[in-house]
Amino acid sequence: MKKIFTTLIAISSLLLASCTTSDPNSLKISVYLGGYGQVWINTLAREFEAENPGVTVTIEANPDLASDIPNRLQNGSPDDIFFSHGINWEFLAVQGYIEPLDDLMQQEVENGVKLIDKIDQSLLQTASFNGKYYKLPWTNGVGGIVYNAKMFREHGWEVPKTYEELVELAKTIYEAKIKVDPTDMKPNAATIKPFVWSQETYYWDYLVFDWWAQINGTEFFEDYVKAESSEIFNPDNNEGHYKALEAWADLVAKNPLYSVEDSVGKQYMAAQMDFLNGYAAMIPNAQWLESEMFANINPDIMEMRMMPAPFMKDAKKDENGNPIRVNYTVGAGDSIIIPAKAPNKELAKKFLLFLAKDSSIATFTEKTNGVLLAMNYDTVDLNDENLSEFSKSIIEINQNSQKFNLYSNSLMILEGKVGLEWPPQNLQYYATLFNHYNNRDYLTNPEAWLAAGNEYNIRGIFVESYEHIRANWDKWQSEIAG
Amino acid sequence: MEKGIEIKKKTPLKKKTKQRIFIILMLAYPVLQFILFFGYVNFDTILLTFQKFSWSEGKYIYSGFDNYGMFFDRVINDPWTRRTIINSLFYMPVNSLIILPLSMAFSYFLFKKVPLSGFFRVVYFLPSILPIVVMTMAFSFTFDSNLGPVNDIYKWFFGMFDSNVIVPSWFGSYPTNQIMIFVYGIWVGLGFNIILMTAAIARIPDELMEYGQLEGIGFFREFRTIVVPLIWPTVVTTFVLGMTSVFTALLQPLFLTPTSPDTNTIALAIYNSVLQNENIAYMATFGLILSLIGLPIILLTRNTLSKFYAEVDY
Amino acid sequence: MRAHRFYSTPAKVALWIIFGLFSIYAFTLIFPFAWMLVNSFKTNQEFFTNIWALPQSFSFRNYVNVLNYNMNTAVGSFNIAHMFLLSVVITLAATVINTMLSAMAAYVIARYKFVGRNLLYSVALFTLIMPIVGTLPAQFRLMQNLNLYNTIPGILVLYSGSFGFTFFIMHGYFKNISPTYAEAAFVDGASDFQVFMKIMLPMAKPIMISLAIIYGIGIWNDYITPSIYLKNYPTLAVGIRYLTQTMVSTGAYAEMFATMIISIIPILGVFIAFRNTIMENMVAGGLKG
Repeated sequence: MKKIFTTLIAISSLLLASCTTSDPNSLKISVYLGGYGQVWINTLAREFEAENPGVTVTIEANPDLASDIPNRLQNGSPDDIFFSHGINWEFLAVQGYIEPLDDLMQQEVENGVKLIDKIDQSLLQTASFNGKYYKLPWTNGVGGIVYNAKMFREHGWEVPKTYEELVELAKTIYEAKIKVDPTDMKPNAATIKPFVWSQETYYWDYLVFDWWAQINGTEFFEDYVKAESSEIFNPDNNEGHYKALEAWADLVAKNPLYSVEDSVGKQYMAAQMDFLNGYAAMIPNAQWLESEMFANINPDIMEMRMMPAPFMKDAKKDENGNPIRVNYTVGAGDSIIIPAKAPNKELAKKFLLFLAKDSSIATFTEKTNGVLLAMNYDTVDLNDENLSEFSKSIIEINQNSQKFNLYSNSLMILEGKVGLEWPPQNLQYYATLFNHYNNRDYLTNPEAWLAAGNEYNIRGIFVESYEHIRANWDKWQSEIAG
Repeated sequence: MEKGIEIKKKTPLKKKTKQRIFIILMLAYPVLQFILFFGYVNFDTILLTFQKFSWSEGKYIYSGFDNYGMFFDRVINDPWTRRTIINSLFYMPVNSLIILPLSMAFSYFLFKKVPLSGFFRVVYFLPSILPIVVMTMAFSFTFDSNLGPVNDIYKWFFGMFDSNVIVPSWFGSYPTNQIMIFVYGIWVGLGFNIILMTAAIARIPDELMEYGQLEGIGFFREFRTIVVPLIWPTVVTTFVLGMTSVFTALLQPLFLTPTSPDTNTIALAIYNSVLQNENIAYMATFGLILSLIGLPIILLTRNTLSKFYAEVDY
Repeated sequence: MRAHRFYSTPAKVALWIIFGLFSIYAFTLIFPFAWMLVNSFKTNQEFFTNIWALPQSFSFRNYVNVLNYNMNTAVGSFNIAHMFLLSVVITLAATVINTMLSAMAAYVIARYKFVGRNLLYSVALFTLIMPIVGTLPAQFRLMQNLNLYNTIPGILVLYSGSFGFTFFIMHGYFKNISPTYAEAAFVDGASDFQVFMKIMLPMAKPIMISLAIIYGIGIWNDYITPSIYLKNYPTLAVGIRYLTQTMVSTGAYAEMFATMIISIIPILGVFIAFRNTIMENMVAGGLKG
């Protein structure tokens, strides 16, 4: 039986080997099909074909690409380039399945500028592992509070610049008790709440992490993401983290009525529906919201904008004495890679150089409702007419903030032993905090309840987590086969 | 409980050989396909449990029982690993002690020609046909604070006794969210089991049922003394398959509480690791150990349950 | 199977209460289906504004959009009708093959003593519960090496696994059958094969049909396997998956519902048509008593 089996395999491998042909003039690009759509890649493909006569580009836009990529990389496939999130590329690169791009990085894109200088510098370190470049970062995401500008205008609300103003605004909105549907005469008719969110609570990260960086400064993260010892988790050296969470708790958790009822248990889609239908003034979200909701936005109710993160009192100051503007890069793990077994690597590399040109960058942003490529936009000329107000608000934040991210090359992080976002295991605390305060006793008499020793010790969470990590650090380290 | 075909002692050897050929022919393709697509493929996975990924060498290296040691360390020290296992364990009583008895009762009454039985049978099969995405969407929207009716009804009803009524967060806090997943499972799981049970009840010979009716026994006694014993093998099989849901429950928590660690299950944990291509060797070990523990328990349960009622053939 | 011929009054009351409960449960199950149907006639924006309202502008536009959809693969362009045909062919073939093979295996293991029968049963049970971690690359390699990758026979081979759920139900069923049926036939000189084909299979017909329908629905709705192993010939499930994912990621929920209705209607039709066959009682007469 075994002999027959192995002979079968041998014969078919031979057959298979002779079957793969590659046409040096054809390029296959596979992209993750999500909120960004595929108009952008189709447009870029046609432009590339125009610049390179004789070349044909085929596009596969696949919503399930991410889970199929390891398969395709290991076993070979007709794909020359992948655009996707969720590719565990370090793992695949180290096994030799991904083409290194170091030489490509040194090539000229246009006007004497090399590819490596075209890439957004804050994201460059997310693209290399063990000293080599294996990918191009794909998008430069922006997150935070999305608000309904029309609603703000109609009720005379100002966009808050500081945390204190945000707290005041929330109070104002809540106490105004404006009916969502003015014609609703029921005694318990729904009123506009400051916030709506969902059980996917990590959306709050986009705001809270901005506060974290405001307090610590973005340089803090250079060492933090190296994760060289458990000391980085020591709250004494990392005030911003717990202070940011405390600020969130003071605003949202301690005011359960400020959020649309049962936000903590809502489905993501239901929360977006509430926001679009005017049940709330603000929603924590990111740059894909407009694309995602494109089919449903009613301009009579909604004008979507992204709010720059309000400044914390303890924010670091820049040389002019102003608080620093920071933005946490959402989706810093998105990747553009070339498979090691790609049939047409040269053409693929040529396409990547083409992608880095100013005109292509502009096309991408214009065809995705304002999403930014992970490139330097200083010389890019964006045609304002093609951009929505939401897009413009995102681009403004992106271009005027110090960007940072929590990507790490450390093996402790890659193997999931410990997490950088919410140590130790990257589980958010928002639901716990919200549920802690959302009880009858607190709601009827907050001062008494707090005075009775019920306040949640947030700094304590970080102390406990630090001690837990410190106690287990060596054990976890030994579990990794370096 | 073996009930092979009895072979009379005076059967010539030829008959026995013929029987052997028959067995081999019947099993040839199924077993071959099984060996290739399950045996070979899963053997690979078992090998994986003895390996670890080496980042410096860029491949899997032999690591002995390290993954197994890590499993026991996590079970002892990590509350989330324990939570995942415990959540999964609870799927068993929900399936085998709630859904199964309920569906037996339902089938019995459908069989008894409750009015509109035919219509009910079609409708109860709907959850097996409708995409799970839609069922979970409809279910969770019903409990949404703005979109669904449940919260309003809850407030109206309990507001009569308590003016400060607070509606529980159905999907936002533990253990309510896990309980809601079980409720969902019962809601959609009944129909499938009803189909199985109805086919089994339909096979009971008329005469046995009529005999009972002539004696004047009521529903309960008929069910207990005639129906249940006669469909017992089907019940046992369905019970055992319900137990396997401990290891396979995945889609319900995935769609109802997508990012919550509270409601994690064994299958979901493994699915997520495969999706993210992370820690595959450890998760393979995790799955393997739990399956190895589960298998004898399931087999033992099956053998014990089978003994409850003497097998009757008809 | 006839019901109680004479009902006492308490029994009648009990039956009507049960009827009430059944109706409530049935209502909760029809509700999502009806909800999806109603919403499929709305515009996306209407759906978002009020998911429970009736459509203001009732129209089939969503259905038209779906029906115009085309998917391009390396071998050509497929529209919904092509995909439908592919799905029908693959589902029918795979279901017939799988049900027959499972019945064959279950029958032999349930009723014949031979070396390894318990081992087979245990191993089969084990694979039912053991989750498959990281077997995808191995399975993929196997399909390529056997030259089955991206072929229709290949996917049928994948679907022909005969030691799954169908096997266990059939095993329990065959164990329950009295040996008297077979013995009489053996005495008459029938071979094992004839006993299986002419007595056992017909007896098992109702349950096999139920199981075939269950398995068939699973195949009809399966998109993972064809999306990986049958890229060149998209089934309906694969096409619908692409459509619905795009719609979800752009918030086009009303269109998504229309898409789903299109994929359900054939199955619903089959089930309604076959419901009597499932419930039919087929007992070979004359041997009892």
